[in-house]
Amino acid sequence: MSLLVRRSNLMVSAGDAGAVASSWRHNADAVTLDITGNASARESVKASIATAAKGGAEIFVRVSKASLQADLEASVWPGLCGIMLPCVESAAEVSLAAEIMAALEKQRGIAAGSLQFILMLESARGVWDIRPIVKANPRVTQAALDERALAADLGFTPLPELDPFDYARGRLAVEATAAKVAAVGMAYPLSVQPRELPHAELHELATKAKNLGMKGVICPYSSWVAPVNAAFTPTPELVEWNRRVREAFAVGVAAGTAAVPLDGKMIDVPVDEWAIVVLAMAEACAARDAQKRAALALA
Amino acid sequence: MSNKQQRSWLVVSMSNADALAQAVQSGADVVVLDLVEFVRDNQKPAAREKIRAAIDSVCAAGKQVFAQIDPQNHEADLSACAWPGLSGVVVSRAEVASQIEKICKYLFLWEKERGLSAGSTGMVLALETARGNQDAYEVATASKRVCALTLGRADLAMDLRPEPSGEIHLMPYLMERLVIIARAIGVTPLGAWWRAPDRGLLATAENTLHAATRGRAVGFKGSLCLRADQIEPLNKIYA
Repeated sequence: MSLLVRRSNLMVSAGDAGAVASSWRHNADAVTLDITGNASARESVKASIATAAKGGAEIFVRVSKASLQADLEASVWPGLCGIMLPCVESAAEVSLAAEIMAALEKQRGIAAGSLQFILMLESARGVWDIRPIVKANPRVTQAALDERALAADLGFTPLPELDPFDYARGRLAVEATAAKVAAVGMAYPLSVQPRELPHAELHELATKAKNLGMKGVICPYSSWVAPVNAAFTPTPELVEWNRRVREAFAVGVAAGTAAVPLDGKMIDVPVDEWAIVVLAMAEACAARDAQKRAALALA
Repeated sequence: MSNKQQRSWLVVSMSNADALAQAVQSGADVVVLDLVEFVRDNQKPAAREKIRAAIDSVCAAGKQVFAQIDPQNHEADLSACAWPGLSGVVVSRAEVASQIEKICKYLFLWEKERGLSAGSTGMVLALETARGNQDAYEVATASKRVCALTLGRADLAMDLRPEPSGEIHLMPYLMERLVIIARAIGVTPLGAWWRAPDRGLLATAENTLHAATRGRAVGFKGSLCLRADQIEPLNKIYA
Protein backbone atom coordinates (compact mmCIF):
# COMPACT_ATOMS: atom_id res chain seq x y z
CA MET A 1 0.00 0.00 0.00
CA SER A 2 1.49 3.34 -0.97
CA LEU A 3 0.25 6.18 1.19
CA LEU A 4 0.70 9.85 0.50
CA VAL A 5 1.66 11.71 3.68
CA ARG A 6 1.14 15.37 2.91
CA ARG A 7 -0.76 16.54 5.95
CA SER A 8 0.29 20.18 5.93
CA ASN A 9 1.16 22.26 2.90
CA LEU A 10 2.41 25.70 3.91
CA MET A 11 1.72 28.53 1.46
CA VAL A 12 4.55 31.03 1.22
CA SER A 13 4.59 34.11 -0.94
CA ALA A 14 7.62 33.69 -3.19
CA GLY A 15 8.10 37.44 -3.26
CA ASP A 16 8.47 37.65 0.53
CA ALA A 17 12.18 37.01 1.10
CA GLY A 18 11.80 36.71 4.86
CA ALA A 19 8.97 34.18 4.61
CA VAL A 20 10.92 32.12 2.08
CA ALA A 21 14.06 32.20 4.24
CA SER A 22 12.18 30.75 7.23
CA SER A 23 9.76 28.51 5.31
CA TRP A 24 11.74 25.33 6.09
CA ARG A 25 11.59 25.81 9.86
CA HIS A 26 7.90 25.10 10.39
CA ASN A 27 7.87 21.30 10.01
CA ALA A 28 5.42 21.39 7.10
CA ASP A 29 5.18 18.22 5.01
CA ALA A 30 5.05 20.44 1.93
CA VAL A 31 5.79 24.08 1.15
CA THR A 32 4.16 25.84 -1.79
CA LEU A 33 5.91 28.92 -3.14
CA ASP A 34 3.27 31.24 -4.54
CA ILE A 35 4.50 33.14 -7.58
CA THR A 36 1.07 34.16 -8.87
CA GLY A 37 0.90 37.77 -9.87
CA ASN A 38 4.57 38.29 -9.13
CA ALA A 39 6.75 38.18 -12.26
CA SER A 40 9.90 39.12 -10.35
CA ALA A 41 9.49 36.08 -8.06
CA ARG A 42 10.14 33.89 -11.12
CA GLU A 43 13.81 34.84 -11.05
CA SER A 44 14.34 33.69 -7.48
CA VAL A 45 12.19 30.59 -7.56
CA LYS A 46 15.03 28.17 -8.30
CA ALA A 47 16.97 29.34 -5.25
CA SER A 48 13.82 29.47 -3.12
CA ILE A 49 13.07 25.81 -3.89
CA ALA A 50 16.41 24.82 -2.34
CA THR A 51 15.83 27.04 0.71
CA ALA A 52 12.29 25.83 1.36
CA ALA A 53 13.38 22.18 1.07
CA LYS A 54 15.99 22.39 3.85
CA GLY A 55 13.56 20.95 6.40
CA GLY A 56 12.65 17.97 4.22
CA ALA A 57 9.38 19.40 2.87
CA GLU A 58 8.11 18.56 -0.60
CA ILE A 59 8.24 21.77 -2.63
CA PHE A 60 5.46 22.99 -4.91
CA VAL A 61 5.08 26.22 -6.85
CA ARG A 62 1.73 27.87 -7.35
CA VAL A 63 1.60 29.24 -10.90
CA SER A 64 -0.85 31.43 -12.81
CA LYS A 65 -3.07 30.23 -15.58
CA ALA A 66 -2.42 33.47 -17.45
CA SER A 67 1.35 32.98 -17.51
CA LEU A 68 1.49 29.17 -17.36
CA GLN A 69 4.38 28.63 -19.79
CA ALA A 70 6.63 31.29 -18.25
CA ASP A 71 5.78 30.23 -14.70
CA LEU A 72 6.51 26.57 -15.41
CA GLU A 73 9.79 27.42 -17.13
CA ALA A 74 10.77 29.41 -14.05
CA SER A 75 9.74 26.66 -11.63
CA VAL A 76 10.52 23.24 -13.05
CA TRP A 77 13.94 22.46 -11.61
CA PRO A 78 15.42 19.45 -9.86
CA GLY A 79 14.22 19.50 -6.25
CA LEU A 80 10.68 20.51 -7.18
CA CYS A 81 7.95 18.03 -6.23
CA GLY A 82 5.20 19.59 -8.34
CA ILE A 83 2.96 22.44 -9.31
CA MET A 84 -0.19 23.86 -7.77
CA LEU A 85 -2.58 24.80 -10.57
CA PRO A 86 -5.15 27.43 -9.59
CA CYS A 87 -8.69 27.87 -10.87
CA VAL A 88 -8.85 24.65 -12.89
CA GLU A 89 -12.04 24.44 -14.94
CA SER A 90 -11.39 21.68 -17.46
CA ALA A 91 -9.42 18.50 -18.07
CA ALA A 92 -7.86 20.21 -21.10
CA GLU A 93 -6.14 22.76 -18.87
CA VAL A 94 -4.58 19.96 -16.83
CA SER A 95 -3.46 18.16 -20.00
CA LEU A 96 -1.89 21.32 -21.37
CA ALA A 97 0.07 21.93 -18.17
CA ALA A 98 1.15 18.26 -18.20
CA GLU A 99 2.51 18.60 -21.74
CA ILE A 100 4.60 21.62 -20.81
CA MET A 101 5.84 19.79 -17.70
CA ALA A 102 6.84 16.74 -19.74
CA ALA A 103 8.91 18.86 -22.12
CA LEU A 104 10.62 20.66 -19.23
CA GLU A 105 11.33 17.41 -17.39
CA LYS A 106 13.09 16.09 -20.47
CA GLN A 107 15.01 19.30 -21.06
CA ARG A 108 16.18 19.62 -17.47
CA GLY A 109 17.06 16.06 -16.60
CA ILE A 110 14.10 15.37 -14.32
CA ALA A 111 12.58 11.86 -14.33
CA ALA A 112 9.73 11.75 -16.85
CA GLY A 113 6.32 12.02 -15.21
CA SER A 114 7.74 12.53 -11.74
CA LEU A 115 6.40 16.04 -11.13
CA GLN A 116 2.96 16.19 -9.54
CA PHE A 117 -0.08 18.44 -9.65
CA ILE A 118 -2.19 19.87 -6.86
CA LEU A 119 -5.40 21.15 -8.45
CA MET A 120 -7.34 24.11 -7.03
CA LEU A 121 -11.04 24.32 -7.88
CA GLU A 122 -12.28 27.87 -7.51
CA SER A 123 -15.45 28.08 -9.59
CA ALA A 124 -18.83 26.41 -10.03
CA ARG A 125 -17.61 25.12 -13.40
CA GLY A 126 -14.62 23.43 -11.77
CA VAL A 127 -16.74 21.88 -9.02
CA TRP A 128 -19.33 20.62 -11.49
CA ASP A 129 -16.76 19.16 -13.89
CA ILE A 130 -14.52 17.73 -11.18
CA ARG A 131 -14.69 14.14 -12.43
CA PRO A 132 -12.90 14.59 -15.78
CA ILE A 133 -10.62 17.18 -14.17
CA VAL A 134 -9.20 14.95 -11.42
CA LYS A 135 -8.85 12.06 -13.87
CA ALA A 136 -7.17 14.17 -16.55
CA ASN A 137 -3.60 13.14 -15.77
CA PRO A 138 -1.75 10.68 -13.49
CA ARG A 139 0.33 13.57 -12.17
CA VAL A 140 -2.66 14.75 -10.14
CA THR A 141 -2.11 13.71 -6.51
CA GLN A 142 -4.25 16.22 -4.59
CA ALA A 143 -7.28 18.40 -5.26
CA ALA A 144 -8.76 21.18 -3.15
CA LEU A 145 -11.45 23.83 -3.18
CA ASP A 146 -10.48 27.46 -2.81
CA GLU A 147 -13.68 28.28 -0.96
CA ARG A 148 -13.07 32.00 -0.77
CA ALA A 149 -12.70 32.17 -4.54
CA LEU A 150 -15.70 29.87 -4.99
CA ALA A 151 -17.90 32.15 -2.89
CA ALA A 152 -16.73 35.08 -5.01
CA ASP A 153 -17.52 33.14 -8.19
CA LEU A 154 -21.01 32.42 -6.87
CA GLY A 155 -21.36 36.06 -5.86
CA PHE A 156 -22.08 35.90 -2.16
CA THR A 157 -20.60 36.57 1.26
CA PRO A 158 -20.97 33.49 3.47
CA LEU A 159 -22.28 33.62 7.04
CA PRO A 160 -19.93 32.02 9.60
CA GLU A 161 -22.83 30.00 11.04
CA LEU A 162 -24.08 28.61 7.72
CA ASP A 163 -21.72 26.42 5.72
CA PRO A 164 -22.63 26.90 2.03
CA PHE A 165 -20.23 24.25 0.74
CA ASP A 166 -21.30 20.94 2.28
CA TYR A 167 -22.23 19.83 -1.19
CA ALA A 168 -19.14 21.12 -3.00
CA ARG A 169 -16.81 19.71 -0.34
CA GLY A 170 -18.65 16.39 -0.32
CA ARG A 171 -18.40 16.25 -4.10
CA LEU A 172 -14.66 16.90 -3.86
CA ALA A 173 -14.22 14.14 -1.26
CA VAL A 174 -16.17 11.54 -3.24
CA GLU A 175 -14.89 12.35 -6.72
CA ALA A 176 -11.25 12.82 -5.73
CA THR A 177 -11.21 9.68 -3.60
CA ALA A 178 -12.80 7.66 -6.40
CA ALA A 179 -10.03 8.85 -8.73
CA LYS A 180 -7.37 7.92 -6.12
CA VAL A 181 -6.57 11.59 -5.65
CA ALA A 182 -6.34 13.01 -2.13
CA ALA A 183 -8.94 15.65 -1.26
CA VAL A 184 -7.46 18.40 0.87
CA GLY A 185 -9.08 21.23 2.75
CA MET A 186 -9.91 22.81 6.11
CA ALA A 187 -13.28 22.71 7.88
CA TYR A 188 -15.78 25.59 7.81
CA PRO A 189 -15.60 28.51 8.51
CA LEU A 190 -11.79 28.61 8.32
CA SER A 191 -12.02 27.05 4.88
CA VAL A 192 -13.67 30.16 3.52
CA GLN A 193 -12.03 32.69 5.83
CA PRO A 194 -8.62 31.44 6.93
CA ARG A 195 -7.21 33.05 10.06
CA GLU A 196 -4.96 32.33 12.98
CA LEU A 197 -6.47 30.63 16.01
CA PRO A 198 -5.18 28.88 19.15
CA HIS A 199 -3.66 25.45 18.56
CA ALA A 200 -6.55 23.54 20.16
CA GLU A 201 -9.17 25.17 17.92
CA LEU A 202 -7.12 24.57 14.81
CA HIS A 203 -6.61 20.96 15.85
CA GLU A 204 -10.36 20.52 16.29
CA LEU A 205 -11.17 22.02 12.88
CA ALA A 206 -8.46 20.02 11.15
CA THR A 207 -9.85 16.87 12.77
CA LYS A 208 -13.27 17.83 11.48
CA ALA A 209 -11.77 18.23 8.01
CA LYS A 210 -10.27 14.76 8.30
CA ASN A 211 -13.68 13.40 9.24
CA LEU A 212 -15.11 15.05 6.10
CA GLY A 213 -12.75 12.98 3.96
CA MET A 214 -9.87 15.42 3.62
CA LYS A 215 -6.32 14.01 3.68
CA GLY A 216 -4.50 17.22 4.48
CA VAL A 217 -4.76 20.98 4.70
CA ILE A 218 -3.25 23.81 2.69
CA CYS A 219 -1.98 26.15 5.42
CA PRO A 220 -1.94 29.90 4.80
CA TYR A 221 -0.23 30.45 8.18
CA SER A 222 2.73 28.63 9.70
CA SER A 223 0.77 28.39 12.97
CA TRP A 224 -1.57 25.94 11.26
CA VAL A 225 1.16 23.40 10.51
CA ALA A 226 1.59 21.79 13.95
CA PRO A 227 -2.13 21.29 14.72
CA VAL A 228 -2.75 20.05 11.17
CA ASN A 229 0.12 17.55 11.32
CA ALA A 230 -1.20 16.32 14.67
CA ALA A 231 -4.79 16.01 13.49
CA PHE A 232 -3.82 13.93 10.45
CA THR A 233 -1.44 11.64 12.34
CA PRO A 234 -3.00 8.63 14.08
CA THR A 235 -2.61 9.09 17.83
CA PRO A 236 -0.71 6.49 19.91
CA GLU A 237 -4.06 5.49 21.49
CA LEU A 238 -5.61 4.89 18.08
CA VAL A 239 -2.58 2.90 16.98
CA GLU A 240 -2.66 0.79 20.14
CA TRP A 241 -6.39 0.10 19.77
CA ASN A 242 -5.98 -0.93 16.15
CA ARG A 243 -3.09 -3.27 17.01
CA ARG A 244 -5.43 -4.97 19.46
CA VAL A 245 -8.16 -5.05 16.79
CA ARG A 246 -5.86 -6.86 14.39
CA GLU A 247 -4.75 -9.34 17.07
CA ALA A 248 -8.28 -10.08 18.24
CA PHE A 249 -9.51 -10.47 14.68
CA ALA A 250 -6.64 -12.83 13.79
CA VAL A 251 -7.44 -14.96 16.84
CA GLY A 252 -11.11 -15.00 15.83
CA VAL A 253 -10.37 -16.00 12.26
CA ALA A 254 -8.08 -18.78 13.49
CA ALA A 255 -10.94 -20.01 15.68
CA GLY A 256 -13.31 -19.98 12.72
CA THR A 257 -15.24 -16.69 13.15
CA ALA A 258 -15.01 -13.34 11.35
CA ALA A 259 -16.84 -11.38 14.04
CA VAL A 260 -15.08 -10.94 17.39
CA PRO A 261 -16.11 -8.83 20.41
CA LEU A 262 -13.43 -6.50 21.84
CA ASP A 263 -14.12 -4.09 24.72
CA GLY A 264 -17.81 -4.14 23.85
CA LYS A 265 -17.23 -3.46 20.14
CA MET A 266 -17.75 -5.89 17.30
CA ILE A 267 -14.65 -6.48 15.20
CA ASP A 268 -15.44 -7.75 11.73
CA VAL A 269 -13.85 -7.55 8.28
CA PRO A 270 -14.36 -3.81 7.58
CA VAL A 271 -13.09 -2.91 11.07
CA ASP A 272 -10.00 -5.05 10.53
CA GLU A 273 -9.47 -3.53 7.10
CA TRP A 274 -9.66 -0.03 8.51
CA ALA A 275 -7.19 -1.05 11.25
CA ILE A 276 -4.75 -2.00 8.48
CA VAL A 277 -5.13 1.48 6.98
CA VAL A 278 -4.67 3.27 10.32
CA LEU A 279 -1.55 1.27 11.19
CA ALA A 280 -0.08 1.81 7.73
CA MET A 281 -0.82 5.52 7.97
CA ALA A 282 0.81 5.72 11.41
CA GLU A 283 3.90 4.02 10.03
CA ALA A 284 4.00 6.27 6.97
CA CYS A 285 3.65 9.38 9.14
CA ALA A 286 6.45 8.19 11.43
CA ALA A 287 8.68 7.55 8.40
CA ARG A 288 7.88 10.99 6.98
CA ASP A 289 8.62 12.65 10.31
CA ALA A 290 11.95 10.79 10.52
CA GLN A 291 12.85 12.02 7.02
CA LYS A 292 12.13 15.59 8.00
CA ARG A 293 14.16 15.27 11.22
CA ALA A 294 17.10 13.90 9.24
CA ALA A 295 16.89 16.80 6.80
CA LEU A 296 16.74 19.31 9.65
CA ALA A 297 19.80 17.75 11.30
CA LEU A 298 21.78 18.47 8.13
CA ALA A 299 20.39 21.95 7.59
CA MET B 1 -39.74 52.25 -17.11
CA SER B 2 -40.09 48.67 -16.16
CA ASN B 3 -38.09 47.37 -13.23
CA LYS B 4 -35.49 44.86 -14.46
CA GLN B 5 -34.61 43.47 -11.06
CA GLN B 6 -35.80 39.98 -10.20
CA ARG B 7 -35.54 39.85 -6.42
CA SER B 8 -39.10 38.84 -5.59
CA TRP B 9 -41.32 36.59 -7.68
CA LEU B 10 -44.89 36.63 -6.39
CA VAL B 11 -46.88 33.61 -7.51
CA VAL B 12 -50.64 34.22 -7.86
CA SER B 13 -53.37 31.83 -8.85
CA MET B 14 -55.18 32.66 -12.09
CA SER B 15 -58.37 31.58 -10.38
CA ASN B 16 -58.07 34.10 -7.56
CA ALA B 17 -59.13 37.56 -8.82
CA ASP B 18 -58.49 39.31 -5.48
CA ALA B 19 -54.96 37.95 -5.22
CA LEU B 20 -54.31 39.05 -8.78
CA ALA B 21 -55.52 42.57 -8.11
CA GLN B 22 -53.30 42.68 -5.02
CA ALA B 23 -50.30 41.40 -6.99
CA VAL B 24 -50.69 44.18 -9.54
CA GLN B 25 -50.48 46.72 -6.72
CA SER B 26 -47.64 44.94 -4.89
CA GLY B 27 -43.93 45.73 -4.83
CA ALA B 28 -43.00 42.42 -6.46
CA ASP B 29 -40.38 42.62 -9.21
CA VAL B 30 -41.98 39.72 -11.03
CA VAL B 31 -45.54 38.41 -10.91
CA VAL B 32 -45.94 34.73 -11.76
CA LEU B 33 -49.43 33.96 -13.06
CA ASP B 34 -50.05 30.38 -12.04
CA LEU B 35 -52.00 27.93 -14.19
CA VAL B 36 -50.78 24.83 -12.37
CA GLU B 37 -50.49 24.67 -8.62
CA PHE B 38 -53.43 26.68 -7.41
CA VAL B 39 -55.94 26.17 -10.21
CA ARG B 40 -58.27 23.21 -10.09
CA ASP B 41 -58.61 21.15 -13.25
CA ASN B 42 -62.18 22.23 -13.87
CA GLN B 43 -61.16 25.90 -13.55
CA LYS B 44 -58.21 25.70 -15.93
CA PRO B 45 -60.06 26.70 -19.12
CA ALA B 46 -61.43 29.81 -17.40
CA ALA B 47 -58.00 30.63 -15.95
CA ARG B 48 -56.39 30.36 -19.39
CA GLU B 49 -58.99 32.68 -20.87
CA LYS B 50 -58.21 35.36 -18.30
CA ILE B 51 -54.44 35.25 -18.47
CA ARG B 52 -53.92 37.56 -21.48
CA ALA B 53 -55.72 40.41 -19.74
CA ALA B 54 -53.82 39.67 -16.54
CA ILE B 55 -50.51 39.92 -18.41
CA ASP B 56 -51.53 43.34 -19.71
CA SER B 57 -52.52 44.64 -16.28
CA VAL B 58 -49.29 43.43 -14.59
CA CYS B 59 -47.21 44.92 -17.42
CA ALA B 60 -49.06 48.20 -17.15
CA ALA B 61 -48.03 48.31 -13.50
CA GLY B 62 -44.37 48.13 -14.58
CA LYS B 63 -43.66 44.59 -13.46
CA GLN B 64 -42.32 41.59 -15.29
CA VAL B 65 -44.79 38.79 -15.90
CA PHE B 66 -44.13 35.08 -16.03
CA ALA B 67 -46.73 32.33 -16.39
CA GLN B 68 -46.37 29.08 -14.48
CA ILE B 69 -47.19 26.28 -16.87
CA ASP B 70 -47.70 22.55 -16.62
CA PRO B 71 -45.44 20.47 -18.88
CA GLN B 72 -48.27 17.91 -19.06
CA ASN B 73 -50.55 20.59 -20.54
CA HIS B 74 -47.98 22.78 -22.21
CA GLU B 75 -49.83 23.26 -25.51
CA ALA B 76 -52.96 24.65 -23.91
CA ASP B 77 -51.03 26.66 -21.32
CA LEU B 78 -48.62 28.18 -23.84
CA SER B 79 -51.24 29.11 -26.39
CA ALA B 80 -53.08 30.89 -23.57
CA CYS B 81 -50.11 32.84 -22.22
CA ALA B 82 -47.63 33.46 -25.07
CA TRP B 83 -48.65 37.08 -25.73
CA PRO B 84 -46.75 40.33 -25.96
CA GLY B 85 -45.77 41.41 -22.44
CA LEU B 86 -44.94 37.93 -21.18
CA SER B 87 -41.30 37.78 -20.07
CA GLY B 88 -41.23 34.04 -19.70
CA VAL B 89 -42.66 30.85 -18.31
CA VAL B 90 -42.00 28.97 -15.10
CA VAL B 91 -42.00 25.28 -15.95
CA SER B 92 -43.47 23.37 -13.06
CA ARG B 93 -41.91 19.94 -12.33
CA ALA B 94 -39.29 20.21 -15.03
CA GLU B 95 -37.48 16.91 -15.23
CA VAL B 96 -36.34 15.83 -18.69
CA ALA B 97 -34.55 17.64 -21.50
CA SER B 98 -37.07 16.47 -24.14
CA GLN B 99 -39.87 18.20 -22.23
CA ILE B 100 -37.93 21.47 -22.24
CA GLU B 101 -37.11 21.13 -25.94
CA LYS B 102 -40.81 20.66 -26.72
CA ILE B 103 -41.83 23.73 -24.77
CA CYS B 104 -39.03 25.70 -26.39
CA LYS B 105 -40.19 24.72 -29.90
CA TYR B 106 -43.78 25.50 -29.12
CA LEU B 107 -42.77 28.93 -27.87
CA PHE B 108 -41.01 29.62 -31.20
CA LEU B 109 -44.28 28.88 -33.01
CA TRP B 110 -46.27 31.30 -30.90
CA GLU B 111 -43.54 33.94 -30.99
CA LYS B 112 -43.69 33.86 -34.79
CA GLU B 113 -47.46 33.80 -34.94
CA ARG B 114 -47.94 36.64 -32.47
CA GLY B 115 -45.15 38.96 -33.55
CA LEU B 116 -42.81 38.37 -30.62
CA SER B 117 -39.08 38.28 -31.30
CA ALA B 118 -37.85 34.72 -31.67
CA GLY B 119 -36.39 33.29 -28.50
CA SER B 120 -37.38 36.28 -26.37
CA THR B 121 -39.59 34.30 -24.00
CA GLY B 122 -37.51 33.06 -21.07
CA MET B 123 -37.84 29.89 -19.05
CA VAL B 124 -37.47 29.32 -15.33
CA LEU B 125 -37.25 25.66 -14.42
CA ALA B 126 -38.76 24.42 -11.17
CA LEU B 127 -36.83 21.23 -10.38
CA GLU B 128 -39.27 19.64 -8.02
CA THR B 129 -38.64 15.93 -8.51
CA ALA B 130 -35.73 13.60 -7.84
CA ARG B 131 -35.31 12.99 -11.56
CA GLY B 132 -35.30 16.69 -12.38
CA ASN B 133 -32.62 17.27 -9.78
CA GLN B 134 -30.56 14.29 -10.82
CA ASP B 135 -30.44 15.49 -14.44
CA ALA B 136 -30.54 19.21 -13.61
CA TYR B 137 -27.55 20.12 -15.74
CA GLU B 138 -28.86 18.38 -18.87
CA VAL B 139 -32.40 19.66 -18.33
CA ALA B 140 -31.27 23.23 -17.78
CA THR B 141 -29.03 23.26 -20.85
CA ALA B 142 -31.78 21.88 -23.11
CA SER B 143 -32.83 25.38 -24.16
CA LYS B 144 -31.05 28.72 -24.36
CA ARG B 145 -34.27 30.26 -23.04
CA VAL B 146 -33.53 28.95 -19.52
CA CYS B 147 -32.66 31.97 -17.40
CA ALA B 148 -33.21 30.71 -13.85
CA LEU B 149 -33.53 27.56 -11.75
CA THR B 150 -35.50 26.96 -8.57
CA LEU B 151 -36.43 23.97 -6.46
CA GLY B 152 -40.06 25.09 -6.45
CA ARG B 153 -41.95 22.81 -4.14
CA ALA B 154 -39.44 19.97 -4.07
CA ASP B 155 -39.99 19.57 -0.34
CA LEU B 156 -43.58 18.56 -1.04
CA ALA B 157 -43.09 16.83 -4.38
CA MET B 158 -40.24 14.73 -3.02
CA ASP B 159 -41.78 14.16 0.42
CA LEU B 160 -38.70 15.47 2.21
CA ARG B 161 -40.07 15.22 5.75
CA PRO B 162 -39.73 18.35 7.84
CA GLU B 163 -40.20 16.43 11.07
CA PRO B 164 -38.86 16.21 13.68
CA SER B 165 -35.93 18.65 13.55
CA GLY B 166 -37.55 21.62 11.84
CA GLU B 167 -35.04 21.40 9.00
CA ILE B 168 -36.41 20.24 5.68
CA HIS B 169 -34.10 17.28 5.23
CA LEU B 170 -32.12 17.05 2.02
CA MET B 171 -33.12 20.58 0.98
CA PRO B 172 -29.74 22.10 1.94
CA TYR B 173 -28.00 19.54 -0.26
CA LEU B 174 -30.36 20.22 -3.17
CA MET B 175 -30.08 23.98 -2.71
CA GLU B 176 -26.27 24.04 -2.65
CA ARG B 177 -26.15 21.75 -5.67
CA LEU B 178 -28.63 23.92 -7.58
CA VAL B 179 -26.53 27.01 -6.91
CA ILE B 180 -23.39 25.32 -8.30
CA ILE B 181 -25.22 24.05 -11.39
CA ALA B 182 -26.91 27.38 -12.08
CA ARG B 183 -23.61 29.24 -11.87
CA ALA B 184 -21.81 26.65 -14.04
CA ILE B 185 -24.46 27.18 -16.72
CA GLY B 186 -24.72 30.93 -16.22
CA VAL B 187 -28.35 31.17 -15.07
CA THR B 188 -29.84 32.62 -11.90
CA PRO B 189 -30.48 30.42 -8.84
CA LEU B 190 -33.77 31.36 -7.14
CA GLY B 191 -34.71 30.30 -3.63
CA ALA B 192 -34.48 30.97 0.08
CA TRP B 193 -33.41 28.95 3.10
CA TRP B 194 -36.94 28.19 4.31
CA ARG B 195 -37.32 26.10 7.43
CA ALA B 196 -40.25 23.86 8.11
CA PRO B 197 -42.99 24.79 8.62
CA ASP B 198 -42.06 28.36 7.63
CA ARG B 199 -42.21 28.06 3.91
CA GLY B 200 -44.57 29.32 1.28
CA LEU B 201 -47.87 30.51 2.58
CA LEU B 202 -46.85 30.09 6.20
CA ALA B 203 -43.73 32.21 6.35
CA THR B 204 -44.16 35.53 8.11
CA ALA B 205 -42.34 38.62 6.91
CA GLU B 206 -39.80 38.15 9.68
CA ASN B 207 -39.16 34.51 8.83
CA THR B 208 -38.93 35.38 5.15
CA LEU B 209 -36.26 37.93 6.01
CA HIS B 210 -34.34 35.22 7.86
CA ALA B 211 -34.78 32.70 5.01
CA ALA B 212 -33.63 35.26 2.43
CA THR B 213 -30.61 36.28 4.51
CA ARG B 214 -29.48 32.69 4.66
CA GLY B 215 -30.49 32.09 1.06
CA ARG B 216 -28.33 34.97 -0.11
CA ALA B 217 -25.42 33.59 1.94
CA VAL B 218 -25.49 30.33 -0.01
CA GLY B 219 -25.78 31.97 -3.41
CA PHE B 220 -29.45 32.55 -4.24
CA LYS B 221 -30.18 35.79 -6.08
CA GLY B 222 -33.93 36.12 -5.59
CA SER B 223 -36.88 33.98 -4.55
CA LEU B 224 -40.39 32.97 -5.40
CA CYS B 225 -43.00 33.73 -2.76
CA LEU B 226 -46.72 33.33 -2.19
CA ARG B 227 -47.75 36.20 0.06
CA ALA B 228 -47.64 39.94 -0.49
CA ASP B 229 -45.97 40.54 2.90
CA GLN B 230 -43.06 38.31 1.86
CA ILE B 231 -42.10 40.71 -0.96
CA GLU B 232 -40.53 43.47 1.08
CA PRO B 233 -38.04 41.24 2.92
CA LEU B 234 -37.06 39.58 -0.37
CA ASN B 235 -36.53 42.94 -2.08
CA LYS B 236 -34.49 44.13 0.86
CA ILE B 237 -32.18 41.12 1.13
CA TYR B 238 -31.76 40.29 -2.55
CA ALA B 239 -31.05 43.91 -3.46
